[in-house]
Formats: sequence, structure tokens, C-alpha cells
Amino acid sequence: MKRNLSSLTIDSCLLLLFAAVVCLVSLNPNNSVFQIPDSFYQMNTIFLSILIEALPFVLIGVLIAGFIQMFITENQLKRWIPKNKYAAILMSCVVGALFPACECGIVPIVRRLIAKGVPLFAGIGFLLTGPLINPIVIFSTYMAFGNDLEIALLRMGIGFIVALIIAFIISLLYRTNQLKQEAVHTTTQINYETSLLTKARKTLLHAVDEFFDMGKYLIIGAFLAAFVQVYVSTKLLVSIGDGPFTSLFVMMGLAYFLSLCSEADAFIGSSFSNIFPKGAILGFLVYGPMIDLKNTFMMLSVFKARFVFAFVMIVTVIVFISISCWQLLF
Amino acid sequence: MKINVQQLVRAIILFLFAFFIYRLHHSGEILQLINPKYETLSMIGATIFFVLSFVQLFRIFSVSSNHIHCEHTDHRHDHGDKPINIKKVISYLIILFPLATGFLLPFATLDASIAKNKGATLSLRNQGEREVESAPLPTNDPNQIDPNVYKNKVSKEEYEWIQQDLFHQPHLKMEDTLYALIYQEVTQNINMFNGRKITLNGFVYREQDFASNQLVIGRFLITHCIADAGLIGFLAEFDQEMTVSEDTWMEVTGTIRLTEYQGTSIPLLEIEEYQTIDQPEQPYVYPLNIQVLGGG
Repeated sequence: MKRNLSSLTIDSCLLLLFAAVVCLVSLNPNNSVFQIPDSFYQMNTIFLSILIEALPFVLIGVLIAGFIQMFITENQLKRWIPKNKYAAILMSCVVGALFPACECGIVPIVRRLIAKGVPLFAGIGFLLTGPLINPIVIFSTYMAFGNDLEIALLRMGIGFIVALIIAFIISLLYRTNQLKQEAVHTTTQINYETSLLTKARKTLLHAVDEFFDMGKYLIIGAFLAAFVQVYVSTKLLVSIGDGPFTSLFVMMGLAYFLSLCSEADAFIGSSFSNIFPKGAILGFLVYGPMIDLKNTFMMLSVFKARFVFAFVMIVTVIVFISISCWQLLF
Repeated sequence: MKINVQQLVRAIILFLFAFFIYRLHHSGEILQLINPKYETLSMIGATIFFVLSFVQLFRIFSVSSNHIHCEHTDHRHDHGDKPINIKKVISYLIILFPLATGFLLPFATLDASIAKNKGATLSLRNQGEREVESAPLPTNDPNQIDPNVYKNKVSKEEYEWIQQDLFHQPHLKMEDTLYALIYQEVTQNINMFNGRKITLNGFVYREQDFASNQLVIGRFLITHCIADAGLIGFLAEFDQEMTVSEDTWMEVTGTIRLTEYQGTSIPLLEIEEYQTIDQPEQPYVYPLNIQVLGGG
């Protein structure tokens, strides 16, 4: 029962969600069911703020995905992507770096591209560099670190190399597209002669379906991220240690659980720069945009659960090793 | 012709999202959630929701449940016309959850407990001087700061000018728009601001190891949405024991001095005047938005 693993995840998360609410309501000292503790209001506000912030990006993402579905054929895509595997990996990472996306908006686009026949490793390369390398992220990082370009450049450079390595590993490990529904996309019989208006309408309808596919994962991810922010203390993480490797581990953990947008995480990252070495800060800045709690859930809406877990492991290990190497060398 | 309930539910959900975001803007509550810089983008989001709900309306009256609208043979996603089962009900409930809490529960303002959780002490320790910048060039422009600043949007030159100007002001006033900039400059160049007068407002935050006459006065800086809020503020020392509770808003005036906290030198304000104030209408502050190539 492979396909049930992810639905099991959803169901158990829903249970957790209700359990959290029930627990909070019953825990308050007055024992009145109708009195919700302040912290719940705070969590709800943070939850909605993550959602309101992410929704425009997700909507733009599903619209682009709908557009790809209706207007771009498999053959066109095949012609654009190099036959050579290494060239394809390089190209996907470069295209991602040029494409100004954020991590929520890029998931539906990647899903549509892979469904249209783009190899998995190329889709992953695009997914990794899209949110990490773009002008807004470079600029906000530059600002947050006291107008110092060094961190911003290291973030882009290390991030790009890490993305290449991960895409390459994925290309070795996986031959199939790892998308959730097994249905093999044989021939899409879209009539490319249909009128532009019909196509536009269908683009929008595809966007609707895509939104409902993805929406619940985004909501669960945002809720859990808000929960962590209100109920899990940062100090707890930081108290694990501040050696070069433990601190890198701590900062990567923080990046995962806080689930911040890549355009906004630099300030938070910089607030740790006097406590932790540069490597740990870089770990936070490189790892966060590639994968985080919210994103893991969004990926679960696209890929098989097994692949998502493997992917999270690969990204974690590669980022950790790469930054550690950098720390040892410089 | 029959009405497809599921498609109707989808259309209603999309419309509710559009309405919810629109209502947040209309009531101004959106400022409790995101940096006003992203207001336009969020309105675009609401508009897309509205357009999608409109297009979705045409699906409600499907002649039959066949996929007449979609020619491709295999379906990788659900078009919302397969029979309803428990899994789908759960999916719709999850999507309705934020709408329910959004419409029913009031918004909260982030408070000291969040600051505690986010490790505000860490950011205090982080105020340690990072680099000693060369002495700033004297600028003799006596003009007031450009009014554009109050839109939180400045050009690169204006930004540099404001930054330089700070070094020459005998009395720093941390207005909402300049709050983050002044905080950043003071923490990065403590020596240069040592002995300078400063006036700021903020809420009270305490750590266990503070003396009874010490508090932090600070505000939350929002880069994107309140999930990325970080407390920025200064350690303040009063000449008497302070019993005000956390989250009380105060306006204080004092002198910047160097001090040690957990092994790092940080700025400390010796408070000369203080008063409690009401929480400002906009409790959060935002980074100055510098225009690069007309955007960003």
C-alpha cells in the first residue's frame, strides 16, 4: 500500500492538529472550554500570516503550471532540454537561478514540468536553485549582514554547487519520475488548435485543480511551522551546542522548522552571527530555501512519500558535508 | 443538467479566500500579518482567487460527470468530480480550517512570550560590535530628512545620506520608519554612538538574569510576514527598581553607554526620562525599503 503512506501522513497530521487544539483548550487553568489561551491566538495569527504571505506566490505558481499544461507540448520541452545528462543538470540549475521564484510557488511548476516529461533530476535542480538564487535574495542577504557582500556571494556559490551535486545524486538513484499518481502519461491529446480563449479558460481550471491538490499541504505545513514558532523555544535548539559541527546542525534544524521565505530569512540568520561561526550561518541560509517543514508537505502533494523522505535526507547530508568541507578548508 | 455539489463547494471556498483577503485589506488587519510592502501582491492574490472562483462557477452545472472540459486521457490530479469519500471530506476540512479561524478568531499582536521563545537574549548578545567602520564623512546638509522616508521607500543615495546623517545628530529619535536603520547602525558602531542621546518607544521585555532596574525596550521587525519577526531593541537601565509588567509600552529617553552582557559588549541605555504609553496603532516596524532598479 504505497500510496497510503502519504495519505496516512495527512491523516495523522490532521489528528495531531486536532489533538493540539484539544490539548491547548483543556490545558488552560480555568478549565473552561471556551477560553482559549493567548498563545493559541498568537499561533493562529502566525499561521494565517504565513498563509496570506504564501498564497499569492502559490497562486502565481499554479497559474504558471496551468499555462505550461495548456500551452507547452512535451516535444517542445524535449527539444529545449539537452540530451546529455550533465548538461541537463547544469542547465536546470542555471535556469532555476535565473528564475525568480519562491519555494512555495515553484512546487506546482516543477510538478507540471516533470509530468510533461522533464527528467526528475532536472526538475530537482530547478527546484533547488529557483528560491535560493535570485536578485531579491542576494539583496536582502547583503542588507541583513551589514552591507557585506561576502555572505551573500558565499550563499549563492555554495548553494549552486550543492544543487548540482544533489541533482546529480538524484539522477543516479532514480530512473522514474517519482510522481505520486502512477498513471503513465501516454499521449496527451490536447488539441493545440483550440482557440486561445478556450485554452485560457482551461489554464484557469487547471490552476483551480492544482490549488486544491496543493492547498491542504500548504495549510498543514504553515500550521506546523507556526506551532513550532510559538511552542518550541529557539534556546532549546541553541543549547545543543556551539562547536563548528553541532552549531551547523543546530542552524540547519532551525532553518527547517522555522520555514521562512528565502527572501526574509537573512535577517533571522544574521541575528545569530555573533553566537555561531560563519559556517553555521551559511548552513541556515543555504539549507532553508532548499527544504523546510512547509515545503516538505508541499512536496508530499507531488512526489511519492518515500522519495520526499529520501530527498530530505540527501539534501540534509549534502548541505552538511559541503559546508563542513568549506569550514575545514577556509 | 444537475448541480455538482463538489464543484460548488470548490467555487465557494475560492470565493471565501478572495473575500477573506479583501476583508483583511479593507479593515486594515492585514498589517497585523504582513509587511505593507507586500500589500499589492496580496491584493493580486485575492484577485486571482476571485477570477478562479468565477471560472469555477461554470463547472457547477455539468451536464454529466464526464470530463468534457479536459481532453487528455490520463489524470494526474483530481478534477473534483469523483465521488466524495471520507478522505476528500478531510481535505476540504483542512482547506476550510484557516478560513474558519481567520473569520472567527481575532488576531493577536506578538508579545514578549514570542520574543522569549525566539531567543531575544541571543539577539541582545548579537549586538556586539561587528566591525569598526572608518569615520564617516561630514555632510553639512542641514535639511530635514526626505519626506519619502515615511513611505518606507528610499533611493540608494537617500539611504546613504540618512545613514551618514545619523552620525551627526546629537539626539537620535527612533521614528517608526528609521527604527530598524538606527538600531542597526548603533549596534554595529557602538563606540561611535557612545554618549549619544536617544529616544525610542517599544514594549517591555525581561530576561531572568536582568537586574531589577534593567529591561529591554524593543519592537518586532517584520521583513515579510510576522513569522519572520525578530525583536530589535536596547537594554535599558533605570535609576530605580522597575516593576512594570512585560508587554507594557514605554517611551524612553536616555544616553547610550557601552556595557558587557554575557561576555559581549553591547549598548546600554541610561534612562533619564520615561513614560508608559498606549500600544501604537502599528506595533511593528519594517526595514527601510531601498529601491534598486526600480523594484525590490
